[in-house]
Amino acid sequence: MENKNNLSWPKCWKHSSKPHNFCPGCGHPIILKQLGHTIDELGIQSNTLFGIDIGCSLLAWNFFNVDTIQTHHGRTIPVMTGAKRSKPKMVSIAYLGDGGAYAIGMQHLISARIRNENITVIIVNNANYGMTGGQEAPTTIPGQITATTQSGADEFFTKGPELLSGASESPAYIARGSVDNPIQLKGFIKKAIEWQMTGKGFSFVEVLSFCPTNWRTDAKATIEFMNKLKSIYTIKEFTKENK
Amino acid sequence: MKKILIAGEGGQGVQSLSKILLDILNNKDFHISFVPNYGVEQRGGVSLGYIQFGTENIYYPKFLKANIMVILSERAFKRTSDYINKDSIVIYNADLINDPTIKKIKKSYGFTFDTLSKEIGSLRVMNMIVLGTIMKTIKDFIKLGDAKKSINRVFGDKYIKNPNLKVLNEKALELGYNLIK
Amino acid sequence: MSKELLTGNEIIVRAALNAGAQAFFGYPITPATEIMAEWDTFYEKNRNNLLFLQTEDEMSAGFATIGAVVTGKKAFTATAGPGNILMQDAFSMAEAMQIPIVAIIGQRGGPSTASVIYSQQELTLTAFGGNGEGYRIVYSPSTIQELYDYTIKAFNTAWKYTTPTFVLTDGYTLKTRTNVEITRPKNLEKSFPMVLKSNKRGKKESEYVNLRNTYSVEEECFKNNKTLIEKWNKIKSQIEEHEVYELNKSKKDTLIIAHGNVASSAKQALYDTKKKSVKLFRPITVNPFPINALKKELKGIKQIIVTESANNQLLKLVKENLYGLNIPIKTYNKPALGITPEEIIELIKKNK
Repeated sequence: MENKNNLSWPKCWKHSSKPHNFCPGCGHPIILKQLGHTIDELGIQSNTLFGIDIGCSLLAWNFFNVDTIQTHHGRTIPVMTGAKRSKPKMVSIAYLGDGGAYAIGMQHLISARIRNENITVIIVNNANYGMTGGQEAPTTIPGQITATTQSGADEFFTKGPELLSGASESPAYIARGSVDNPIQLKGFIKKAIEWQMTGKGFSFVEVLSFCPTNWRTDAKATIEFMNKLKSIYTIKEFTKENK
Repeated sequence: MKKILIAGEGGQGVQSLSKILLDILNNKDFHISFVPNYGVEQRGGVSLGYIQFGTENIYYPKFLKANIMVILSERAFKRTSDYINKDSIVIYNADLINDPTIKKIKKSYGFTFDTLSKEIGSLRVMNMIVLGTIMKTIKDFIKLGDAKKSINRVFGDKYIKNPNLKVLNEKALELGYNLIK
Repeated sequence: MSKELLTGNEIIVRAALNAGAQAFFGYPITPATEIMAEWDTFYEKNRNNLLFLQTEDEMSAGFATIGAVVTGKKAFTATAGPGNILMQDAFSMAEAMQIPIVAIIGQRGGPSTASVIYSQQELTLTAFGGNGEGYRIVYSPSTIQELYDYTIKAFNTAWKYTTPTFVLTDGYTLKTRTNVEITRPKNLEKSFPMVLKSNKRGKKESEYVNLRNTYSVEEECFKNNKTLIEKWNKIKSQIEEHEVYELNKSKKDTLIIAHGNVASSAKQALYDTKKKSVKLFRPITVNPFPINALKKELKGIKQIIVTESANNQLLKLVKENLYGLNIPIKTYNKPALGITPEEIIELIKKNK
């Protein structure tokens, strides 16, 4: 059943693992809550394998009453690929940070897109490496101060959904949402998983997320930095449909 | 146990020759072992085939000295001359090997394999002439008919596309078989 | 009746299929590539029951194998040299979580890219690669017949003990074509899912499996390590295998220790020379190392010769396991190069 007001906890929430271990103000719990509601609404709790990567995303290893497996360095994508190919009727969701997806595990992400693997990949983009102490990420924006760009980051950064859209001619569900619009985000996640469930192939959601701990921002500055990210990373659906 | 080393240029048919010889020996109920040598190159370079057969167990696929050496090019001779000892029988391609030391080997037989195969009609059947000479050298147990059956098995697919190849191959085999008296 | 003529690479695929393998994920690398090509031949004929994917790299191949295994498939992979290095990432995870994957390692020359041909330099990497202790089973078969038998056994062992299991072989063995006997194994271990065991589950937390490979505090991590150690100590004596080769039971003064292809060469040498004072000890499991069996063979031995196509990798295992014994050990090492029976005959003569 659709949860219109989005206020209650998802039914697939694992209560013994709460309160969770994410930092105060972190965007992960917002994303996970939307994912939880989506799992409830689609009725896939018993049929989903949730793969989690290294970095802050791994703190979600016991977040849900959903079967999980955890690894590192973007290898979550091949793990979920192997699992999905072996058990095509299950729902396969890979949950990674921007480092695992766009740097150390980029070949897996691009290859999953090009081979049109029937899995859903959710990438959390918070413009830095959170768990290791706020170093530069592939998504760090020009001028951003991080632990490894102390005088400001260079002008190069990675636009995942745009890259994946161009990486193949085959149709795919690709979107970028953000944690400051959870209702819209849930819509994207739901469409992505439904895309997989109808056997259409690769689906992907990048989520712009808060990291006040490493951004060193208070609530107001967090929202301001999010707006800055949104001015660079367009929120939209990049979906490629069959012509 | 007999040890045969076949050495030639990539493209001279060393590997398919080895495959046929192996098939013949396998049907004679011998223990057999074959290992190709291979490098990083996909094409070119010296191609080697180490074949062993006998009635006893073969534990190790390579060896240092061969009973029968088949050398089809100058480079192959340079590469494999260490495998020859005083008892080795050496069959070589006189068209391509100019090194005079090969003639001084006691049991060496030089044949103009390239010329002979061109006379039959194609350089591609050169390895079948060579096979004929090897069979004669092994002597006692390989009959021409057995070899023809094995060639048919290994080349089956190619024969369907090119029936003339069968005629040429068998002609080459017989020629080779009669080269060594 | 003649036996089937097959290469080592082809025999591995037949063994895997007869052991119940259902899935292969891999990336091409000489000399193990033909295992993948051969698997594809069978896969094309039986797409409904078999799985195959050529992945983007060896890390992906290893991790996709893990993904298939956790959902209940008997999956395996094969690699060599630099590919073995990359795949250690996945092997390390399989070791940490005791996931039963099977990997065939076709050793090629090292270090680094080196040669595509032959070596025994991946013993340490295969047995102890990764940031762990080597809770993995490594078989080192000697002949192609054994390659068949131990590939089947690797699948059974992996699933019986839920431990990553390796068949450590080499380019010579894989490329050798010979006549082998294909027999169907009688008893096969069954694979099983580690996740998604039922799709009718309710609200109970205990009905869901959260597999993890990470620990937030060191005590928790230590606890996992302790569990691994205890399991390893419990199972290793059941897994250890070795072979002693001697022409008769007369008194021996020299013991040759070798594994894999080099052990075959040593056998040939002993057979050819009819040498009665020398015997061969061959660890079939290089991990766990058959330590007690080796100690039993030392009675009356005046010298040990360790020979390998590597520089002291086997020697390290021997020394570690024979600590405290003062029998002199000689070595004959040829990293990345084969050791022929003729050389071992020389070696025996020299060390009379």
